[in-house]
Amino acid sequence: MTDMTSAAAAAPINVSQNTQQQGKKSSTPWKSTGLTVGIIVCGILTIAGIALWAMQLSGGMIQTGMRNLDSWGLYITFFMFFVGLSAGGLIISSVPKAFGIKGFGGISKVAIMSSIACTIAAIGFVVVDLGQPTRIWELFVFSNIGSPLMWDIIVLGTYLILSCFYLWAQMANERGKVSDKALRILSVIALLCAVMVHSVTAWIFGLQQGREMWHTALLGPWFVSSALVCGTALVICVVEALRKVGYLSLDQAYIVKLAKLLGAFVCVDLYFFACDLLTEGFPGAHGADVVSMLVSGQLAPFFWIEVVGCAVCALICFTPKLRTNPLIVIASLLAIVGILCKRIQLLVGGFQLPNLDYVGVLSPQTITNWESGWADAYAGMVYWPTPLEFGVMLGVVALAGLIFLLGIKFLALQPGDKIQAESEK
Amino acid sequence: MNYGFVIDQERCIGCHTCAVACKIENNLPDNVWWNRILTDGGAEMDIPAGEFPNTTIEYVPVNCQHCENPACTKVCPVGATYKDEETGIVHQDVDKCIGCRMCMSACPYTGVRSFNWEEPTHVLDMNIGGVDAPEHQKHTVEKCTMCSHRVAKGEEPACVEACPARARFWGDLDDPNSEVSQLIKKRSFKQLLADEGTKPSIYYVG
Amino acid sequence: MSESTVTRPGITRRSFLKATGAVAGVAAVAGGTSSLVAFADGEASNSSAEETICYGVCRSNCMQSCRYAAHVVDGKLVKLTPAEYAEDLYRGSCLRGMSYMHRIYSPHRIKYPMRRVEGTERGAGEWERISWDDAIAEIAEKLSSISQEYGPKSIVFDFGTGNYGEIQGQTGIFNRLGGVIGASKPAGMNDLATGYGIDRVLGTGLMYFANEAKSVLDSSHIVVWGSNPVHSTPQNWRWMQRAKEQGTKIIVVDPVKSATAHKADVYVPIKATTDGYLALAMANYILENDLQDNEFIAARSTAPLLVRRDTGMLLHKSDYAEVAEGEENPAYVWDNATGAIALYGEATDPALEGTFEVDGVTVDTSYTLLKQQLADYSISEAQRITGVPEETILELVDVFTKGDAVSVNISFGMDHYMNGYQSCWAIAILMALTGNLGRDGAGFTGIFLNTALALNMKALWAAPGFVGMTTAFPMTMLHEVAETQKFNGEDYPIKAMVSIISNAVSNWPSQNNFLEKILPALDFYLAMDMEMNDTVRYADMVLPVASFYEHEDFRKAHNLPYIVHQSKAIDPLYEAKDDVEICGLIGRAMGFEEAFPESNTFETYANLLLSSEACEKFNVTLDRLREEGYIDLSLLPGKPGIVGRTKFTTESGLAQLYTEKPAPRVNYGQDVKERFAKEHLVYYQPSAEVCEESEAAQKFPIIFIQEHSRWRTHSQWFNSPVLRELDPEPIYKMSPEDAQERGIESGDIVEVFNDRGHMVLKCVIDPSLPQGMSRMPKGWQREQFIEGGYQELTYPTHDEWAVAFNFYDTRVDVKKR
Repeated sequence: MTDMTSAAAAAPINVSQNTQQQGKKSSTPWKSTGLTVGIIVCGILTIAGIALWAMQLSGGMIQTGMRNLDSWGLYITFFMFFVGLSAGGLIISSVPKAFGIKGFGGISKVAIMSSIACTIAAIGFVVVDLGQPTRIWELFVFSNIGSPLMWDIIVLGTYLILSCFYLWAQMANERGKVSDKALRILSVIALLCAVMVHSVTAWIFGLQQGREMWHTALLGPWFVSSALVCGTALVICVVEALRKVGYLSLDQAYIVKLAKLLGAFVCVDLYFFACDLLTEGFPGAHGADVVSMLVSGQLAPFFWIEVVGCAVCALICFTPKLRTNPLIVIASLLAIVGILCKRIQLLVGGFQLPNLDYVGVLSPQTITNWESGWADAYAGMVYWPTPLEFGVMLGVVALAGLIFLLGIKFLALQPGDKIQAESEK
Repeated sequence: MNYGFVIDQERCIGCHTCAVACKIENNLPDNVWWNRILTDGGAEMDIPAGEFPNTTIEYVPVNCQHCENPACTKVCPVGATYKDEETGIVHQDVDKCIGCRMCMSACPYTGVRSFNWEEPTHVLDMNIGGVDAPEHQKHTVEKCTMCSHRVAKGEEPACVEACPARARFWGDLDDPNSEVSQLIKKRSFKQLLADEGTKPSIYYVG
Repeated sequence: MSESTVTRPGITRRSFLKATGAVAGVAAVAGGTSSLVAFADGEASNSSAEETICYGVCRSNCMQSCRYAAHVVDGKLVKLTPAEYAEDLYRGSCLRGMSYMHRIYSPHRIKYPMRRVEGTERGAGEWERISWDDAIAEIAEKLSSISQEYGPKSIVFDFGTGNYGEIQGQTGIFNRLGGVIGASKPAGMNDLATGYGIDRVLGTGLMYFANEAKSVLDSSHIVVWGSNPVHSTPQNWRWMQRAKEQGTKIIVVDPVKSATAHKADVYVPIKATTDGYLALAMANYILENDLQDNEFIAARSTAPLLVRRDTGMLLHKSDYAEVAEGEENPAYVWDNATGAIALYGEATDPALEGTFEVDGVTVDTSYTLLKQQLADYSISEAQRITGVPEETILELVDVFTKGDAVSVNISFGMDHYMNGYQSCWAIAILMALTGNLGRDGAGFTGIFLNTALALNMKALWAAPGFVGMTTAFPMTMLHEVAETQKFNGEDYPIKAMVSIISNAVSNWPSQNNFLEKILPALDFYLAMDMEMNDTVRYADMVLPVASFYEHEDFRKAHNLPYIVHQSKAIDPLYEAKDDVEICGLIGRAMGFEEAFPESNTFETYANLLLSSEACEKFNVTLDRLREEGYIDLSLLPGKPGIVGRTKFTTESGLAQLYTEKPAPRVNYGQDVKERFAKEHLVYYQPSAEVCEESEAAQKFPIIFIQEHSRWRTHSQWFNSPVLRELDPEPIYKMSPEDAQERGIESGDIVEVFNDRGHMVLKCVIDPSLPQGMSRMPKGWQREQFIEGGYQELTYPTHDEWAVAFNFYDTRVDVKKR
């Protein structure tokens, strides 16, 4: 519900093109009842999420669906997903500046803001997944710099700080306090960092030789491409929403441009998927199990939603006739859902195929569906979250929404005069 | 020194005595088993594969493999799991573990690492096992310690002492004259998921 | 159930771990080495608790007698570890023995004397705690008044097999009480058909047929016949595995592909209960093809002994001369050298075969009679009856005739069918004809019992005022007697029952008879136990008893050549008392002060039991047991005990091919004459229910056996928390074919039923079962089933000669719930 408020509530919009309703371009907070409601709802959900998290910590993570043989779940899925979402925004806003090419109108700051919100959510998902969050300080005292998780924590932290700084720099640049050159250098750094974040997140999984589903060199680039897909899609949704509510105005050409870009990213992502499936499946060894699990097995619904959704998305993006605002938003949502499905496949798939294909004693700590015996535990999806996990997840997502909406409310994220002028050329 | 186990699958009768010995010696909480006896056969425990009378079944006792090249120690962000270079034992420091379960995902031998998904409970209202048995904490990962508290006193791990089939051997794999080294020299062996490159310190002979 | 979380007493250790953790963490990051040395130092200096170790012996009815070191901290038993024996491979352990403390400290343990709440049904689970004084007073009052009104025989003492301690166990102190009361003691029927059958050949009584476990190291072949040592006697399997590693071939003959069959070199599937036919057909083939061991037959069997056709008796010295009581009365043989009879041992050329006339009486040699008897058993018929292909049978023949030393691991699988003793008898004949007896590596294995040390049972049992217990009928007949209050047409009131280390409700066949016929007849039912098993649940009063480690005892080890001491490791928990104390309390309260003076302690009784000639010879004393833990009783040091190494324990000292005076195992007034003539010579008898021709087979297509698993010893450990984690619920295993026919899949809930009862439980499909066979691990209690229980399915009748329980001779059908 909350993420809808922040990002996708605009889904059913049916705006006429070129809504020119001008947002107030000043540093004074932007006022809107909808926004206030959104902030309150997000706030309540965030608090509810925190309460549920407290429940999880006191009553034990036995209340989640995670168990020894499927030791990660919804939280890490959403961690992956939100890292992806976060990157898109930053890349969209930094690429044009870094390469000195024409951008996407004045959406840069909004895109960065969405990145910041998503990064915080990603970090939040790692935190709620921890068994001992009070020991989080150990990460800084006993850092094992060899651990991909440590890399991710470093990169994600850097990324968050950098995003904030980048946002400030853009705003300062608009006020003429930061030079274009400095901003451009910063853009390059931000871009590198965004790519790093994705690669490193991919490596959390990809460097684990123990999981057939994860252990592939392609995972790094693929994560980057997936991030571009859902990041771009998110930006489109956000921008469309903000246009709809009159927060900002944007030439339709930029939306089309973004849509074309989205279509390209989706194709790259699908291409990577095809490469991976072929590589996995071709030798007919264990990888073939992965392919059949995805195509026709327990994870098939997620696989097909992703593939079909992304294909439809690409179709919309590349067919001029179909590039209407509502359809572009639908295409974006399809892309986001598709990437979420990809994340689910990746996470659950890592546990769905046991390395040691032997059966043993089952206990309430062994596996999610332990009560129904070995065969049944793996018959459907090996893992499925409990309501508590959904609740905590919602809370973290709401936190991201809250941060984003607060940004909208208190920061001047509309296109600056400079860009406005540029875009009106 | 690199302590390791040799498990003779010819001898192993899947009796779970080693698992129970481990459970008791280490005062393991309810539903926690560091040493599990897996059935290599049909779809359920103790059920063979195949058709009567040509059925087959083997038992694979699986505990932490104390790998020479452990996947878990590399990924632990705080170094709570680490390899003791002097003994080859892969330790898990539950006082340090932040409960991120990175090690559980990294370990290819899924299930040897066990997370306390709730406050550990003990069906007996008392501590059992070795007086210096390890403690157990909620929301931390734990696993076979190779009975390091016993090893430190010059004793062999509890599972080895308990095995009625005399199928478990333990010793220094670096010492060519040790019983374990001799066994893997003389007999064909396999290691679990050898192609994962973890170089496990448990050798299955049979 | 206790939910408490326990932290270890040593705060020191916790902080210590923290310290090492930090150090180690840093070391790991730095790529340096952390120190186990530090670990060790810390442990040694920081262990706050003092651990003491004492020794004991597991006394459960797996009969393997593993010795354990009991580690005690602060008065609590914290772990059990296998303790040594002089022969290292006898050092044993198992998951049950090691987790025994989970039974001691189990939340399910019976803590106090309890009485069924007045007005509630038996089995309703309503109990009130009472004091020991009240309990003893009530027990004494009830037993005394019942004894006075109906006679002492109306009190049934039911002895089970939950404790094989010599004083506190099955043959211990309660026999002294039963003896002074004069109670009824129905004849036990567990696991006795194997011994009864083999006794026909080896004269080994009911339990002494087996060679020592380590004897298999000398075997060229081990035929595991109808037993599953991998699960039921793993301590003996250890020796077989060693033998296998030395080149001994292991062959398993079994209707199901048992765990042992999976470990063996050869598995021979056979139709259940047809083993006897297989053995006899092999024996006949061997004789027809002159493959027998003539040397053994001539020197060590009764082959030449002459049998009178008129009486069926041997021709004895006493047929011609006066033989005083106690004097030897050898049989005659035919001396070919003189053409006349001669006493055994006095002939120069005794005829092994032939029919002769002696003073108008026709006599045959035992061997001739056996050969004639076996002539009907053909290999081709064996293939039809047993389902074993001819070529496999011939391979088995090769094993027995060409193998250097064949041992047959037999135990009690075939025993559990109506024709069990005939099967075992047949195999014993096969062993005799092939000379696989009485020497290193040859003979039966199973549970070895030490014959060397006779304890003074009389001194323990026959107290002042001893009248003795009455064994008029076997256990399977108790329900009839209780229901009719008559036995053999005469009044035989049954009014009270005392279950002593026994879970009779669970472990006697035809459970519904117990619940519906025995229980209603009883005015008073006393059970003594540690846990709420089926028997305790249906009792009127229950007394909490001490566990193995809460009292002192010793066990003349079954299976091992030792007598082993149990020291009292801890005080009895709660209000539990040991049998010596309970017996004394009841005895004195009933007025048997002379038999149970207050001054009598465990030591008094131990010294009485150890006051025998044999104990003197082996220098077995309580002091020495306490000091040394166990005493070696081997007859030939270093050599395994072998049955019949020098001679067999038959009247003639020879392996009997012909049984002169067969007798039923228990005489309870049955017609013995009818079958007497048939019982001289081995024969095949189809089993009552399992055999394909039975009436039941037409109605109930699936055979059901209650296998012995590693999880329980009979019903003991049924509620051990740690074992229930590994084995949480009853599982019925059926063949893929039978399951498919009934649309059943693994994990389904099924009802298993026959005319006698039913059970409802989870089912797993098990391809180690052929079509028509099913099984489930035994020992589950009624409350652990969804409905019913497996012991409802078994029948309560017995073979009139073997008088044994036939748990496996059971047919059922199954439907999906």
